[in-house]
Amino acid sequence: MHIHISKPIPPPSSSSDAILQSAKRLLEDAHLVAPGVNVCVAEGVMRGHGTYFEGDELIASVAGSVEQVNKLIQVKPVKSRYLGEIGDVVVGRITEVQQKRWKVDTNSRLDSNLLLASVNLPGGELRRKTLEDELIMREYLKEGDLVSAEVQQLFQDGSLSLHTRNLKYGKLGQGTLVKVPPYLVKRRKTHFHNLQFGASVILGCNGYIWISPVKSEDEALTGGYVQDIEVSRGK
Amino acid sequence: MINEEQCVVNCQYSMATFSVPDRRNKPRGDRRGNEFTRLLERAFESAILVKNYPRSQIDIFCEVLEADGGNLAACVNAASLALADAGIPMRGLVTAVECGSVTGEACADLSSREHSDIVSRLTVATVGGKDEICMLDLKNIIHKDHVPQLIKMAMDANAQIHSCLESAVLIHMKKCYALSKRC
Repeated sequence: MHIHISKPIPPPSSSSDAILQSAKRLLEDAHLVAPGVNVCVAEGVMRGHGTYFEGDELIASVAGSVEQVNKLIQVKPVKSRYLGEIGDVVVGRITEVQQKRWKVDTNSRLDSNLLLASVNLPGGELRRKTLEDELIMREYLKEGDLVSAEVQQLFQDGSLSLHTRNLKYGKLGQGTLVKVPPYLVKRRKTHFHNLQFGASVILGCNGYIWISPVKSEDEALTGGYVQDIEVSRGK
Repeated sequence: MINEEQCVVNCQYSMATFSVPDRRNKPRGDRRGNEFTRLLERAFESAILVKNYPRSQIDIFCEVLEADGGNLAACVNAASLALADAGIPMRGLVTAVECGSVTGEACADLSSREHSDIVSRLTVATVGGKDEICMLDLKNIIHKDHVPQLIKMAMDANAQIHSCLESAVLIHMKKCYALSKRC
């Protein structure tokens, strides 16, 4: 008995057609692969992320685009957990309060670290953190709080180290968090925008987007620890 | 359980109460469900490159919304697509099919109406559409002479299902790639 299984039919939606049409040139140049597809011969190439050697072939292990830099071939997955880069603005949620640091959920494989030494204290003061500061860490940020921060460095295991050493970063107050896949947020010069109808938006590179009312002048200089609720209720 | 050398694959097989004609009271926890859970774990442990993620866990939760035969095979195919979409490195897409042996003749992809106690059903999962079997599950008894034909039918079906899933992954990736690069 012979069986025949037909190929999938692409969904007939007009919006995706428009996207595909406009990106036709881009898609022709890109080399997209699925897991298990042979990328090239293993002779004289260096194996990068997203690939593995099998016999004398280099095979893709993720679904993504093949990128080649001289002899290094890697397959970058289009969709994956957020992979941080130094200088990225992220919005994260505190999950744990540890001895000299906080653990922050930033939609990555591992929780990011926010060291006590890398935060500005309430009021914007910059000083060396003492033992007393360590004991009252929970009063600054506790589990469930949202913060905006910047990626300072990457650890060996891939986890991020964040800092809020600028008054525009810090604890987030009243507002709404919207989560989108990280690959939709492009890296730009600025991720903080004030929209003209009174909303301010923080586009985190990790896919977490924070929408809040526009802050007044004095509030903006406190790093988020002081919020005047009376003002925002009036708007 | 923390494994220092590789990641742990944790699966859950659950059937919605409305998935079968006679409403089920317990979505999971029955013996067959637990067996499917373990089979899924073993199948994906061999396909996912687990050495890349020590001290971590990958959760794969499958929920059957409409059961019409081949539940385990459908879960394997769906989980493969989910893993490819999530960007988790695998050796290849894992595909599965449930084949039955009816009086010696091999049939692919039986529906639930064709299930009975005298028809032996074999669910076969392969990696990358090739000849590498990563999971086998047999229900009811089968004569040893009927086995080679059944396995051959299952391999043919798997190869076709694999090319179908691969095309689906590429269509989806094209759209996501175009979205991500758009200015």
